[in-house]
Amino acid sequence: MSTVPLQKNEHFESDELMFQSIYDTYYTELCLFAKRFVYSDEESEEIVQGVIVRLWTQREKILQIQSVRSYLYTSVRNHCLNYIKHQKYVDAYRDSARHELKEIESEGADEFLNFEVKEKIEVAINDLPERCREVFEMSRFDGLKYREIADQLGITVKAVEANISRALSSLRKSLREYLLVDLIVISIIFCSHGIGDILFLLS
Amino acid sequence: MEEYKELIVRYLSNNTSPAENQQLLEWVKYSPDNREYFINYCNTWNNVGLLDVESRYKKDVAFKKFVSEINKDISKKHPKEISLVVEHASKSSKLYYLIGAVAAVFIAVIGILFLHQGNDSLNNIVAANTEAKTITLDDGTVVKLSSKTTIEYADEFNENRHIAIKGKAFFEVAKDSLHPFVIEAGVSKIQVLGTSFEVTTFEDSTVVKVNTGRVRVADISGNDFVDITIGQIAVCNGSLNMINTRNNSDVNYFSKETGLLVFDNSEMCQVAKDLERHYEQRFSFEDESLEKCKLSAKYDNMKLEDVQQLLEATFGLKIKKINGIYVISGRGC
Repeated sequence: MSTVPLQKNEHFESDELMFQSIYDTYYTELCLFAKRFVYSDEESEEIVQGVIVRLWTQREKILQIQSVRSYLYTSVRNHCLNYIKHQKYVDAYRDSARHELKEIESEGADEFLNFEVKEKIEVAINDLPERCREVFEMSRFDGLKYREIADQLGITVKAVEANISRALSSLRKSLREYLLVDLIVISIIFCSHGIGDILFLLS
Repeated sequence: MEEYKELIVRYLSNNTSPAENQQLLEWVKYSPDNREYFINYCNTWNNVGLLDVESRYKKDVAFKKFVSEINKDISKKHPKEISLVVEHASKSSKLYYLIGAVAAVFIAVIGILFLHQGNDSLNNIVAANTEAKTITLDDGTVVKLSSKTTIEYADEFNENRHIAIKGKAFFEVAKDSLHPFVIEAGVSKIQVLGTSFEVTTFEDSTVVKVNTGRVRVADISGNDFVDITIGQIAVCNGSLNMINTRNNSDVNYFSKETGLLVFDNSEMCQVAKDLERHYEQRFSFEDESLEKCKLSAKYDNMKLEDVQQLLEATFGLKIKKINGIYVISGRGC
């Protein structure tokens, strides 16, 4: 692959600006997207960073890419899947079941994040009983272990578990229609665009 | 399927052991229905993440890293620019020598300070092993230690107001705008001028809840921090490398410290829980329908007997102490 020789001129300046706007627009959502496939925030940030740096090395192609967003999502997804495969191999004896579950989990991952669902999620979470919501948020957003939440709130680990599980069931029910519709729409988009983009970039 | 629900949730929240993962995997592979049920829960869990995407990832830091990465890339790939790069390098190597020299001096100074501190006296240690304990530090700061909590501070405490804590404690920090009060708390560092708040440390995380004023919570490296204020909670998670903030939904969390109980259209079952914690007494309802009655009230430093009378008057209830438990009875609302 040949790269256009780069001069220190205004062309470079504008490339850098272009990438700044890529970071502003896509970085956080791509990280969250990657988190669906890998285990930690750090790993997902590393993968996203790698994908954007790679796009930089082929940036003369950016103008030919029909949708930068779709390119980035596809690349992040592919890198993540490779990463899980690799981890499964490296870590085979420690907790191989976890890697396999992660693979199955990522089958269901949407092609894009759908920010329109965000409001619905907000409403659904606010509808949860207060204690239930609190326990759920401590686990989902703060990443606290059951034991730690139990200690914080002065309740039993069993109660923590029951609350989180109640919260997630209730969220699943209230979000069911939005998430299911998404899956269908997304698979259509993926079939018609996704593969075209990849082939295009490989050529 | 229901019985696997809790296992799925535990898997998603990272609370499973390898054996449990194996058990879950076998179940998921057992039938397409199980698989779909599992994926469905995962999707819900993952989608909820949309709510907190902005606070979680640091795009500015990432962009800076990107810029330094591509500059390296340019110097490797484009020989034409070598002259520019070399000039750059010689400048920066001078700079490195300078930085090296400064660092050497710095390390020496730190070393001396460290030795000095080591000689000076090992820290005073205050530990509450069985029950809660209140201590007053030399600067007037009051610390309420929960059981099994340790705090440590050096002799220089009077000059720098630095202490370390492990466990759970409530701080009422004496005001001194010239000398910030600094607490090393597990995976975080907390800095205040004069406020009250509670700190709990765990192995991998620290939770700070603010009662009054403003508190700065930083990770241990000091690179990342948040400022939180009345009614807010910060959670510093060492293994995920992040600090989250949210509101404390429990408005009476600090009622024992402030003497103030506030109810805003709260259900009686919640009121009873808050009263139990505040007065360290047990309450129960004779009739379940009473639990749903809503109360709006503010009790400021009141005795339990007075609160009891007010409640009785508000709803036409009777509250009687039977066998050490306050039993609430009445027609309901």
